[in-house]
Amino acid sequence: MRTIGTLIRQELRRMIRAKETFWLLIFMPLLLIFILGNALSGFFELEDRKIDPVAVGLVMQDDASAEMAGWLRSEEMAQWLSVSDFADRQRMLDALENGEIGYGVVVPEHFADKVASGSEAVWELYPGQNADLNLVAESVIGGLLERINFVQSAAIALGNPQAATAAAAGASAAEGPYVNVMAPDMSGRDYSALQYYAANMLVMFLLYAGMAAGLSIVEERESRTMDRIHAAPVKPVHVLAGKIAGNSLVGFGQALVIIVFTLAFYGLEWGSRYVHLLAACVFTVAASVSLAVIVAALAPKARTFQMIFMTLTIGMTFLSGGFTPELGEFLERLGEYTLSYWASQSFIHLMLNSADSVVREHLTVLGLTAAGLFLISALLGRKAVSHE
Amino acid sequence: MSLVRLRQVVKRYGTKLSVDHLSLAIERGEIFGLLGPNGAGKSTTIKMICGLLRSDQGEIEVDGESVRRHPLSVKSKIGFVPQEIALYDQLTAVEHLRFFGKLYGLRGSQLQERIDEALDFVGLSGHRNERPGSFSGGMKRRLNIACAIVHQPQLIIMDEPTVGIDPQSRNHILESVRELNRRGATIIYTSHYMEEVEAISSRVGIIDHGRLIALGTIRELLMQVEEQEKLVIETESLTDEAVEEVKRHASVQRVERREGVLDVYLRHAQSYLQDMLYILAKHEVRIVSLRSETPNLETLFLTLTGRNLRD
Repeated sequence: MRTIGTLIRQELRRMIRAKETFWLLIFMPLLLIFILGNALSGFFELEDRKIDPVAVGLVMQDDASAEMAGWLRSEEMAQWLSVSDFADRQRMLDALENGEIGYGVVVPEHFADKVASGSEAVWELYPGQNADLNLVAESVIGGLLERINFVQSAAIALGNPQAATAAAAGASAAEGPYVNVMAPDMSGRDYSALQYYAANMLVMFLLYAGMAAGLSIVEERESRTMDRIHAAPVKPVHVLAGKIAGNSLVGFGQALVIIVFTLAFYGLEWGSRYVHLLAACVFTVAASVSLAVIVAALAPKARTFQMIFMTLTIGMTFLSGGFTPELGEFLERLGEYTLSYWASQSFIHLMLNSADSVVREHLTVLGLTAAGLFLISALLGRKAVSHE
Repeated sequence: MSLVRLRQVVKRYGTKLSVDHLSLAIERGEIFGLLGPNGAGKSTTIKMICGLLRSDQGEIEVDGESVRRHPLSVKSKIGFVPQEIALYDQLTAVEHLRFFGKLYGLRGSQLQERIDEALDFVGLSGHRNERPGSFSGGMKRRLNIACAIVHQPQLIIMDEPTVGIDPQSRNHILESVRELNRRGATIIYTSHYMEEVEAISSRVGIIDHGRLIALGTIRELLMQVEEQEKLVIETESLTDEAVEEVKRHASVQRVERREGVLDVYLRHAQSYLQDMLYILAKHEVRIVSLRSETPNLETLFLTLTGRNLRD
């Protein structure tokens, strides 16, 4: 551990001493958030972001769930969802593909019974082609599903379906509307350009923090200081751990500065779920540093490494809407396969105080992506820090 | 027991054989010079001793421990001075030594003492808080060495530590090597400058194409080419009779005639110089200039391989 500590301190010292690090990792994101947030705020005018109710196709395969599904048609929901019934799943999917509806929901057979008995019960949700509409539908339906989860939890705890329903009804009365999530333009809590770019720039610059880790590895290989380190009684895994931990700390520091600075000076709110916010930062930094180690293992020279990593970072940021939210359908779909998309959407949903289920979904995908990249980097890590 | 022992060590890069069944023993307290042309396998060999490269075959032991089985223990006994100046632009001289000292497990007052000693030894005490960017090439080389000796290793391996520096810095480094050896360290010194190796080594191994082609003390090695001591005599009016009489002299091995210049190969040239002058004078050959060339490791390498060391 002492050796890893020495390597971490060394990494931090090098980063702090390099002037360009401060400019790139701390000053630039704050400047870009300010410039993009103000210059492109026109994209985010309230009237531009007015979203019509999402056309939701509903397939009811369980008559006993009619009451629950009926909540989707409630007056409160009408401003967000316009529900149409479909006889079967295939017709609904055809309509989804043709763009006749924006989102699809299937309530499967015996759903209500399963909820009441406390066994596993799921709604099948089918996102459509428009990311914004999906966001609205997921947020609203997510709130409803949370309510159903509550009923199920009560059923499990009380062991009595009637008592569970009564408990749910009581809770409903006590808590007010069950749609307590925020989607764009909901309750006047639309996300602003500053929020949008703060989330996207935070992700982009956390990726740059990862780049610093990879660059440090490749540069040490080039300058042969890596040989010196390996000539000392140090295990390669310790070298890798020192590089990853040192640069991850820089990434966390960078995230903290960006969040605190934008909160203090731009008045940006990052939501009230700090543990989830921390998790989003941890997953993004872990994914970024892992990606950097993978690229460092494959790139022989610092210049090659920088070119590959910059292309990846800028490409992913662009596809995830980090530079402009209006990309067109194809690119938006492509963006959903990027690390940046899941990271920035996680931060945006946290800012919007979206439903727990929506935030959890995004954090889960982000976490799994980070875990996958970490595993690959662990396999290639030895090659990355190798001196042969 | 030898401090370093290599047995039938092989290292390949793809299909290229870089080290070819090399066996070698280096004794405690010696300065062992590893000499060979560029690409001969010197750096690969010492990187395998340091544990930086894995051998494909064979066994390497340092102080009785296998490099393959106990790499960390072996590494803690070695100080490695790489051929390249491997320093950090962002760190001062003292920070370099602190970092590498800590990697070797030094802490607290012991670390501070060793840092002071190392800086003093390489003559950089007055520049302890300066970064390498402000150093001359020689100073960087000295800091490069200080990083390798801060933990006072029993074996110091120097891979061409004088490449690209001025003669004054080179002499400083060579004297440092001798001093480290006087203080008890065993040194392995690689170079393709045979003058350096001749000047400081107690024993020399000559390596070519990954194979050890000669091994011994300087004296032992030069005995292999002592008959190649040469008198170069530039003359006017050189006659065939004079050349024939020179050839007939008992000490002369071989004579080569190039227009007016006579190359006479013989043992103990100094002893028979008078005889040569007498023969030439007898045949009324006028001598313009005369010099004696003694064989060196370059001569030996040329004899063994047909190539020059610096080819």
